Amino acid sequence: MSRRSDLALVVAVALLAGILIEILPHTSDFARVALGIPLVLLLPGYALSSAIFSPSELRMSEHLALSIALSVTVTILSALLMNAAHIGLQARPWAAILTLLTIAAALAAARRGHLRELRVGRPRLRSSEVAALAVSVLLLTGAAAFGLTPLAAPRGTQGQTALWIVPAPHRSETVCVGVISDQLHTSDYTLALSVRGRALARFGAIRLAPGASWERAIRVGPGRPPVTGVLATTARPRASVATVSLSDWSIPTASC
Amino acid sequence: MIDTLPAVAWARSRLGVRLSTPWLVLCASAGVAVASLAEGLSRSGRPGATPLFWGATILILVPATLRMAQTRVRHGERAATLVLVGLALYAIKVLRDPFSFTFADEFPHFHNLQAILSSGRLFGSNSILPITPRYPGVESVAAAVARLAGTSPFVSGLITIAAARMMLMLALYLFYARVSGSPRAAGLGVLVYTATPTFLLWSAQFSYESLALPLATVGVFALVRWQSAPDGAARARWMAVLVLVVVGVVPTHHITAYALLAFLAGTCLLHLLMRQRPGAPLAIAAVTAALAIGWLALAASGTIAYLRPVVNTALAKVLATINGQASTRVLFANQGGAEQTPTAERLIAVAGILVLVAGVAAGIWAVRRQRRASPVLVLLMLASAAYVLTLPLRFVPAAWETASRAGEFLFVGVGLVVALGIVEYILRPGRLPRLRPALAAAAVMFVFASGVIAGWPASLRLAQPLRVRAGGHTLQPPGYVAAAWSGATLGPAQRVAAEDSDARLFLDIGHQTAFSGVFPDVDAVLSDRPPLKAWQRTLLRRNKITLVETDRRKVSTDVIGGYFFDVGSPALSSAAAAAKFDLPGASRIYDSGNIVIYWVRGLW
Repeated sequence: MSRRSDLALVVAVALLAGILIEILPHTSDFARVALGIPLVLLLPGYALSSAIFSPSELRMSEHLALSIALSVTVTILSALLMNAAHIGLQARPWAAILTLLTIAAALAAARRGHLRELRVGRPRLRSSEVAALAVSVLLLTGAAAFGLTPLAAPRGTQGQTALWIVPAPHRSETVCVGVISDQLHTSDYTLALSVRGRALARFGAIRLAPGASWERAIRVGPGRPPVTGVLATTARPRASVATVSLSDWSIPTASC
Repeated sequence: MIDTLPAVAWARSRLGVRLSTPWLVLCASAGVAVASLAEGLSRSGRPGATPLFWGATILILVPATLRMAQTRVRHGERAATLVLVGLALYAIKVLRDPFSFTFADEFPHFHNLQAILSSGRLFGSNSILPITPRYPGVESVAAAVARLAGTSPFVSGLITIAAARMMLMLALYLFYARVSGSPRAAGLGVLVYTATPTFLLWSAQFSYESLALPLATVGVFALVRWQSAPDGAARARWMAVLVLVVVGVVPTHHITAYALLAFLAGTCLLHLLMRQRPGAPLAIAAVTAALAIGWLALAASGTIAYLRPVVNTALAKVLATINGQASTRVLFANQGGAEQTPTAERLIAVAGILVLVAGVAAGIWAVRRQRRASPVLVLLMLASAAYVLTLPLRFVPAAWETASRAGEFLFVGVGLVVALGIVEYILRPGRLPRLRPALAAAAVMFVFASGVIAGWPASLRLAQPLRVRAGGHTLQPPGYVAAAWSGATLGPAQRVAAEDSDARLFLDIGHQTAFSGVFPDVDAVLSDRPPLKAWQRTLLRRNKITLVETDRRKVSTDVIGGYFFDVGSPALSSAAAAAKFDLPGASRIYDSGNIVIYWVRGLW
């Protein structure tokens, strides 16, 4: 295989990707992204279509369309086969399959003489066209940065505050009770807990910033009694914001 | 011809600007930047977003259409321009939802992807769309991207659909160019195809059809290459590609596989009717049928049970509407039939449909006049005529979705046929040469706008508040908070009955088994007046439902718009229906005002 052919490049990138994933299967960095995406979406199909067709049979656009389509098909088939063979769909076996298939197809293509010479031609662009492309990069970067920035809520957006109660895990006769503020402003709350209608505890003022939460584990006494919680704001203590009640202590709390 | 347009001539003489690829890239990038601004204005509740949105689409589409209308453009440049347009339009969808998937079908598919990544196995379960794990194509590809590139599941899904978009634009262009013999008509045809009402948003979602349709398009391109192959060896090579593509389509999406099979069968039939038997893809159609039936029998036997009610209901409602026994659907309204599209947009939508119908007629007339129709071109003409015939179905409440979904496939015919009409009647040499390309661009933009308006509720076309900044923190809507709380506090083993949009959040965010809708009839359980009836307790017991979430916001039943912060006081449903679970035996364990979660194990 010529060192400066398309297939040599395909084999090199596939090998690099395969080796990187074999050595560092759980990392996430630029090299992994730059090599991993082509290994799934481009290289197997490119090598396969090169093995099937001679370069003169396909235009570059046709080769690209087939490369993506066949890569997708190969990836789907490899997933089905790995699943049928009870091989977990993990990074290492998947990378090995796609790398080996890509190299095998590239070698088959090379043996049939289906190589394209890599020519790194200098694009003939005017200075204004280079400037247009540079501005494009800036525009796209700005669009992505702005698009990914959470902005202030529209005027009139409704915030909520949640009150919750569950049995404490691994601790009998104890409940976990919590407040989650999904309000747009800092607010003060009071929380009243009662057992069988009798006041048990009162908390407040609980000051919560937007997105903040508050949580306590509270012993409620023997016999797993029914517990009720009422949340109100300090500004309007008689108007409840939320009410919770716990009567079934079989709730399987995972954590609190 | 384009260079004589006043604006283009001015830009060329004063700025040295030609309609070359770098300038098209700049226009498309500017379109994406303007779209980002529009989405930002929309999700922060500021005015001016809608005009910017339309400005963005004009920046992306109009320069590309002007370039496609030119005659002396290299094949590769046309293909590159179309890929550019496809990705720029996809960027609009991504910028609408840059933080997470929010389309109704994206939630179940994202759940499948997360399940594959956590278990390493295919064919898991999905309580919202049980059929989707049986067609794991798109999730397999996204899982491979996540595993091998180390990207998050969300980003992996976006990358997968971006690749599908590239494939669609390229394959459609190559297919059209082969069928029509005109790269110019092919390029314009692909741009007309972007006017499919579902193209901009619905078909760009992370869903099985978004990958299967582009794959199938590569298949039909391979078919026409197979038909025109010079010798037996070349035919065998293209047949191998076609079979490989079918192998990819069949485990990815049921309807697309059947549509591809219908296309192949239709091509065979037309070849026989037109006495061109050598080009009939009989063997390929047989292989496709065998693979589709085999998958149906071995891996996805629930497909018929899934599709049958949809088709049966649609047919029954069509007949009832024709007989005057059912009311017609309100056009340009949201899921509840309430929200109205602005009058100007409705006028554009209707006028755009008229332009499209005229384009279909002109295209069919042009092909007939030239007497050059191949069986595949005849099939595309029939598809375009069928699309026009499905338009009245949009008045039928239960059939509009079926018509809309069929439209995606039928529009493959519309794209080329309308483009042939444009080339024949608008771009042909004649009087007013300066105006002709501008007229073609205006026609494409007009039908595109019409498709966008018809395809999605106006109030939800642009980004909604999903993540907002307040006090130095990022907040998520109450539905997300409730679902996340359930997963973190109760673990992922709960079975939840909830309204349609909330159930999707419990599935993806809370990692619970969530039920909504009518199978089982969670809708009735949630919306019925008190008291809780015996059959409803039985339903909870039979489905082992441990949590019931009541959400009084009416928007929570809307699978398109139910995921976002409420701006202004939301319309509320009956308090009594929501409070009927305040019973001995049930624990009210979470309350955020409109959203309440009950532990209902004690009600079984």
